[in-house]
Amino acid sequence: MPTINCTEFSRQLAEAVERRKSVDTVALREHAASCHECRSQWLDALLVDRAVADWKKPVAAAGLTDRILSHVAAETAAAAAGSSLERKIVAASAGDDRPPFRPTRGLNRTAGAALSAIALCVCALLFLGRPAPQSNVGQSSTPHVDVVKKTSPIAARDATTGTASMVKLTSAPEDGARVELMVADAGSAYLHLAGKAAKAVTAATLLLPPADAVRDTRPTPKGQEPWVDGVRREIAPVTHQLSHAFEFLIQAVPEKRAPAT
Amino acid sequence: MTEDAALVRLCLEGSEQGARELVERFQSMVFAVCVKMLGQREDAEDVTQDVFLRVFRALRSWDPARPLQPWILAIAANRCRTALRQRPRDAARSSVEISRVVADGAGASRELTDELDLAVAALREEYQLCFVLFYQQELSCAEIASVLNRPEGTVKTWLHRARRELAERLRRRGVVNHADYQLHGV
Repeated sequence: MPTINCTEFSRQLAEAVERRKSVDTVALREHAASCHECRSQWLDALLVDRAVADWKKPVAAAGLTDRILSHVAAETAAAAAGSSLERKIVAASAGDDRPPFRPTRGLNRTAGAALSAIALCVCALLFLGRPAPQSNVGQSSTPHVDVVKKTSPIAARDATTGTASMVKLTSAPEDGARVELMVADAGSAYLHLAGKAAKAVTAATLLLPPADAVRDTRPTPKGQEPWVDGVRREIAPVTHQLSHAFEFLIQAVPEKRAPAT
Repeated sequence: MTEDAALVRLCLEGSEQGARELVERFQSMVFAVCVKMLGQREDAEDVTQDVFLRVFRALRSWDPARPLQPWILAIAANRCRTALRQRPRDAARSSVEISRVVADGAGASRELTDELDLAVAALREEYQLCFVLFYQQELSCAEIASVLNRPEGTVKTWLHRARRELAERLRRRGVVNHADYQLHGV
């Protein structure tokens, strides 16, 4: 006589399967013998259990571990090679207070560099139409920007000697005042704008030396000093030398950066 | 710190030994799932490789509060699904092969486990994964639910249906008949 009904049979069968127990129990067998429908289920369960019992676990080919590890190493190396841009930024940022920019993916790095260049372009275009600093020449008492301070000509000349140093005409703004930044290369401009002067980006004017300023190391004839009130005459906002500014931007990332004076 | 967390930390620190240990610990498991899901060793090796590449890429996003095994299995399951979807022809070939076996009457002479492999390959992806994880990796229904990100009840239903379909396929192919069983005392 079966001791369980069909509902109990189904429950016990499911439980045996889930707990990986044998479905060949007395109760299940007795019920299966008396119920045709349940018998079919029970025989199916037996069949699968028998097939699964000998189911071989595949063994990986020898050397698969090494192959996987070599692929991982290759990908790591490729990622490292692709991050040369990041390394340049990190290297140039050495000595900066804030942590270096460390994008995690190649796409992010590329996008970051592109966005930085675009942001710099936008900054330059924002100041389109501003008066040229040349108009200040000879009017040292009334600089056209609020907080422009005189810069040491010596420091400024560093830019003409090809040292690619950055000359900051003003200290970092403390009260939201406008600043002017004279940079020797695009990298310095980028780092400065993205760094300590970030707060002042919207109020900054980039002053670029003339295209040949860095390369031209010839001594200036006496009496023809190109400095007026500490500012080189040829220096102009980027808006006045757009093509030159773009050349700077194309350089994109600085090779080195001297600390701001 | 758990053993998994320590291992992951080693890997994140760039330890070659750590990476090797991680691969060696989980490689068999991943490969077994891939073979059973894809049915071909070559494909399984490629996908296993891909799985570990992705594991190393995503290692930082692993939650140390959770075990590593289900996380890696979830990646393996996803890669197998993707691989299966990328090769509809192979799926068709598998069906053809099954048909041929039945038509030739060779099914009975094949080993039961080989037939089971073929039958499993013909299951729906969800059933396949469920069945393989349950019987090959010996995960519980709750663990499979975690790997597949599905309710436990769903996993139980899938497992039940997978078993039923497998039995039906095996019977249809004449691998084993009910008459083969000795119903002692029945």
